[in-house]
Formats: sequence, structure tokens, C-alpha cells
Amino acid sequence: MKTAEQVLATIQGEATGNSQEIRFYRVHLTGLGHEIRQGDIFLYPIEPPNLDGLKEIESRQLAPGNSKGSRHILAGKVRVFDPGSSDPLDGPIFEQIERGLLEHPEHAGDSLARGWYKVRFQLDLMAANRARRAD
Amino acid sequence: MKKAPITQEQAEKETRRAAAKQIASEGQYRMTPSKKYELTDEHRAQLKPWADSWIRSAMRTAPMTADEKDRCRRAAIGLYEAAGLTPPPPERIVFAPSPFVAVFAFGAASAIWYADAAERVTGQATWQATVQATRRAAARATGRATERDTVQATGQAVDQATWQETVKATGRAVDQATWQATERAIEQAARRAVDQATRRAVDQATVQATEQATVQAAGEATGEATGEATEQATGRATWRATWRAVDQATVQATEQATVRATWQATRRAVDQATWQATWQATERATRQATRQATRQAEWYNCGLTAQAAVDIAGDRAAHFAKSSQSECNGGSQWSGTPSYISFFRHIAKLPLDYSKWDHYEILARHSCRRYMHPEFCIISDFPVKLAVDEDNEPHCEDGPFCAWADGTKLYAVNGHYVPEWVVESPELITVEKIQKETDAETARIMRERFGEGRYLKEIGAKVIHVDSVPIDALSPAGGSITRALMEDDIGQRWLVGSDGSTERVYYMLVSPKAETCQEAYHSLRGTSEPDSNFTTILES
Repeated sequence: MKTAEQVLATIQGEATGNSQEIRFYRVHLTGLGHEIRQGDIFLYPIEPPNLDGLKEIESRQLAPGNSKGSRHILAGKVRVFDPGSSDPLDGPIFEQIERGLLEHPEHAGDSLARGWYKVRFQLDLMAANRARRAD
Repeated sequence: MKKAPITQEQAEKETRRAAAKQIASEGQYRMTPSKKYELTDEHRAQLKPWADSWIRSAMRTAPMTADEKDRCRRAAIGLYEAAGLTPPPPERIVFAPSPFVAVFAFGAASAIWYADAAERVTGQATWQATVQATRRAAARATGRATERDTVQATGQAVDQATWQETVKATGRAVDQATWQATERAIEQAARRAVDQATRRAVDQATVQATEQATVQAAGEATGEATGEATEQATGRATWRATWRAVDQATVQATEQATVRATWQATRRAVDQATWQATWQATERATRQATRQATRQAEWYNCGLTAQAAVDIAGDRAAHFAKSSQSECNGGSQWSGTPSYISFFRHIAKLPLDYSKWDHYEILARHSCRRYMHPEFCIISDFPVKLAVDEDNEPHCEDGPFCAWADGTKLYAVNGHYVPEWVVESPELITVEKIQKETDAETARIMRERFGEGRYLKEIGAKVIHVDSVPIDALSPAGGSITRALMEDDIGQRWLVGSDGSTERVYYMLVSPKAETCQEAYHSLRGTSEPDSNFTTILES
């Protein structure tokens, strides 16, 4: 049985050992059922949605906030919509009108095929707990 | 969903609404609808810029200029006069570098004025202790900013003659028994007099009157206010009845569209953007400081100002400082209502008499908190630093989120007030201190600053499960990474993994029910992960 110290040392070593300093783009040939992860957000290709009641938004940033980590930004011809969902893990829906990029200052970029995508966020339990305590 | 903070003003408004409802139900006012005032597109376009300008004002960190001090002094005099009160002479309208100095100088000066009044009533001289303390304070005020400022502001707020007499009257006898016998009655009378004569009177004559007139005018112009309510709202016998009538005629009973729209767009926007960082934090800090004058500074550092006030005027100074909150107006920290009223004044240009309101608006724009006493007024300057996070919560991880020129400071991380040393000296954080911290959120912040990895390592966290996942099939780096599920000393479970892009290790709090890394990851993303994606290395 490894100790916490040993396991943490392994993980820390891999963090720097797997450095992706040479930036690259992952080119996705997407289809329904695929999943694209960039850091703590997930993209899922979807069928074209019914746009009734969906509000188009100007922002091309897929995660809320001003921090470096939240800068998952779409480039290229794209339309972004607020899904109007009450699920806090639901992010925007967007149409990639032609192949374009999802860029991030730290993560590898993703080249996205034409089509519709929905965004899901990874749950941040610490933030959720903090908000609950603040309430 | 996080609730928006409720300000004192909002709480008062809710109270007024409830009262208006009750009055309406009792049939004291009869309402007849009239045409609603409607904002023009041009006005509507100015709502956000106007609110933003007041938000900038509330978040201002530039000091008051000499010209602004002069304007504010004249405005303060105008407020007293608008309320039908005799203003203090200009030299007793004093500027303090921070709310802390303002509140404790207010306490000390109030105590001296009170003692002066008490002496006249009782014929007893009680100066000896005060004088000795004053001398001590004066001797000690040698460059320590807050102490020196408090002594100076107190001296300015007290009449020169009274101040000198306080210092000189060492030979007078003290009759403690007589003093104590009359103390309570005089104190209550003094507090009532101060309370009724200054802030309330001034507020009634200026902000409330204008706000009421604005609400009324906006309502009348558009629609659902009534002739009778208007009459009562304009010619009023008492403010409270007027307010109730107007409030009911406009905001509450008629759901007046213009008021709601502008209210939300201006006042509420400003309140929500600034409340946590400005008024609430300062209020809480000054309140705690008055209660804990001798205790070590915690999430605030107000220097020696509290002790200086006590040295100058005895324990009564702390008592008056504590009760000063009822004499306090937030100035720029209460920018919500001014943003609302001034919108109608300057943008919608509602034809009202703003001559009394003007003083209030000037002070809200050009000064921070103020404390109005019948004999003096102390106005605080703006902070020199004010930092918030993306949710407008008070926040700074490497220093105070709010600081004033005299060195007073407040500390918070993401809206939670934390001890000064947690921010300024994180190297002092230890596992033992984290485990002893009784405030869960403070402990969490301490731990975050200590380092989750270091914490898990030092406590010898229990390793629940370890596996290995491919980095990315398309990645030129290839390979796999290890991830681990660990349990800490309070039963929280953490998924630990790395990211080659950022070269960082991530510690993610996961469901305490997770038994494997896969389950833990599932709990974060809400969907399952294909079995082929991972290889189990260790299970406990």
C-alpha cells in the first residue's frame, strides 16, 4: 500500500513530466456521442436544437468568470445561445458555422468541426459548499 | 443560488412597504389610478451608465480633494439647516482619514460634550479621570497614525474651550456617587436628543423627502398615484404617513413600472455591486472594533484608534462610539438611493425642488461615511484601496481588500472575512491551526493557502483508490497519468490528478460516497466514463 506522500509525489512528478509546452491543437472529427474535454469543461455534439426561446449571446467565452482558467474562448464563425437551463452545470449551446477553434491560455486548443454543441461544466463542490455556507 | 445581500436601506424599505400594506388594508388612503410616467428610450439608455457612475463613486479609492472637503463642509451645514437645526460652526465639521478614526473620535467627542452637559445638570465636576487620560493619550500620540488622527479629530470636534477645559481641569473634585445616580438618565436623554435631532431629522428633510417626491412624481407622471395620496405626499403632517402613502400609491399598490425598472437598474445595481465590499464590511469592522477595543485585531486592523478614544474620554467614549451607528450615514457607501433619486433629477429631469436633496447628493458623491452630532460632524475620507472578486465580494489574497490612508485595513477572501495574519503571513499557517479553527470557511481558506497537497501529505491522508488514465489519444505527448482518491481528517474525499497543459496538480473535492477514482470523477461530471479509459493501480 502506497502512502499519501508517495502517491502525491508520483502525481506531482507526472504533472511536470507530461508537460505539453509544445502547443498543439486536437482536431476533432466529431459525431454524436463523442465528448470533447478542455480542462474543466466538456463539449457534446448535439442535433440542431429548436431555437425558440433561446437567447443568442455575444460572449464567445464558454465558462463564466474573469479568471485565467475560465477563458475557454471560441474563435471563428459561431453563434452562441443561453440554454435557459436551471442546471448550474449546463453551459451555453453553440453552432460552429464552419470549422473553428476553442482556445485556452493553458490547455491545448481544440479544432471543432461544423455543427451544434452543448457545454457542460465540471462540478466544483468546494465552490458549491462555499455558496451554500454564504446563504 | 446565492442570495443578494439585504442592505439596511432595503430592510427599511420592506418595513415601509409592510406598513403601507397595513394602512391600505385599513382604508386610510383611497387611491385612484392616473396615467403612468414612462421612461423615454433616451432615459432608459442612461440607466446602466448612471448606475455604473455611482458604482464607481462607491468604489472610489482617490482621496477627497481640498475643494471636495470645502463642498462637503458646506453641504453638511446645508443638511443641518434643511432639517431646521443649528449647524455646528465650520471648524467643527471635521474630516477623518478613515471610518475607524471617525467613529472613535465621534465616541470621544460625544463623551466630552456629554460630560460637559452633565456637569451643567449636576453641578459636579468629573474631569479628573478624563484629563489624566487625555494627557496620556496626547503623550502617546507620537506618530502612530490612527491614534494621532483620533486625538486630532476629537480635538477638532470638541469646542476649543471645552477641549482646553478638559485638559486643564485637573483640580476639580469628582463625586462619583452623584455622577452615577444621574448618569443613566442624562445618557438616555443625550442619546435620544442626538438621535432625534440629527441624522433622522436630516435624513427626513433631505433624502427621504426627495426620494418620496421622486417616487411620487414618477408615479404621477405615469399613472397610478392618486390625488389624495399626492396631497398627503406633498403637504404632509408627518414624514412616516407621507412615506407610507406615497410608497403604497406607487411602488407597492400600483406595481409602478418606472419605479421598478429604475430602482433595479440604478439603486439595486449599485447596492449589489458595492454593499458587501463597502458598507457591510466597514460596518461590521467598526462594530466589532468598538466591542473589542482591547482585543487583538482580527480581520480588521484599526491600530490604536479605539484605545486612543478610551484614553481621551474614558469608557464612555467606547460606549458612544458603539452607539454612533445610529448617527451614521454611509455617504458614498450608501450610493443606492442617491443613484436612484439623482437619475430622476439629472436624467429624467423631474421638476422637483432639489434644494434640500442637493446637500445629501454632494456628500454621497464626494465623501465616505459621516457621523452627525448636534455639536459636530465627522466625515470620513475614501479608502485608498478597495478590491473585490468577480462576484463583487470583498477579496484580496495578498493584502487587505480595503485600506485607508491612516493604515486601517480589512481582510477578506472571496467575501469571507479572515484574520489579518492568514493573508499577510500565510507561512504561519499550520495543520494544528487549521484543525483548531472553529469557523469552517476560515479553516477552508487557511487550508487552501497552506496547500491541499501539503495538507493531505502532512496529515497522512488515507489513500482510498489509485488508477491510471490515458492523457489523450490524440496528444503527441501520449502516455497516461495517475490519479488518486484520498480521504482527509474530516472525512472529505479528494480526487487528485494532474494536467500536463498547466503542469499543475488538482485537488478536487468529490462525493464522500465515492469509492473509486472513476466514481469520484463521475460525481464531478455527472456522466459515467468508459471502462476502457482507465487502469486500476491500487484499491484499498
